[in-house]
Amino acid sequence: MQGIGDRERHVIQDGVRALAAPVTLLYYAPDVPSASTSAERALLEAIAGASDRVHLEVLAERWDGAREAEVGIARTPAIVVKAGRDHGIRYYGAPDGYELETFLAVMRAVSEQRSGLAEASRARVRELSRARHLEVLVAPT
Amino acid sequence: MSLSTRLAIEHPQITTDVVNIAVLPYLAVRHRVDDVPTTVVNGKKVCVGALPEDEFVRRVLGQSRRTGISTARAAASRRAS
Repeated sequence: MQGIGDRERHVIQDGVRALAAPVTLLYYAPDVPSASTSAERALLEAIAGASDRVHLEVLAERWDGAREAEVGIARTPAIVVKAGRDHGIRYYGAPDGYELETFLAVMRAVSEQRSGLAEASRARVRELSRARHLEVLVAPT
Repeated sequence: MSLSTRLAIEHPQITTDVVNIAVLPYLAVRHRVDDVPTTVVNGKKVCVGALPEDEFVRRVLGQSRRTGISTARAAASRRAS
């Protein structure tokens, strides 16, 4: 991941301009930073710095299995996105490139507590009786 | 915004990890990823690439889809009985 450029700053400012409610980003980083985790942290700090409705908490101490199990993460670096309720959304790897705009959209949706799914989909989801854990594997762009 | 994160916002029993395979390449090997995005549900690969919302939700929830062929077969079966 390269440094944050003007384009990224513009995208970030647009993305967090009208958050409906405060959003918390929890960043679980390894206790020994690398170039990629430093860049990831810088990106999150840029997002948090663009709005007083974004709160970033960096947890970069030694791995705490009990604490990490409580929030449901099994590895670092991990980003938790939540606003009031924790929706179980975790990012592993920096949301940069095209993924940045998606990440900001997730922040807005969490802030609004609104999924944006079609009514037919929402009706199907309401019938869910067993937990589902999704892993979406993406590539850097 | 991805459908997986929409689903997580919609229902408290759905959780979503968005995984950059450059950071966790072993997951790409484990799930035999040959294209992205690849979606895995409860450890099982359910779709590769982008899908329409309706189809994606069906696959994630494990709901079968009545296709045109199965509908025609069901109708033929009803006529025969």
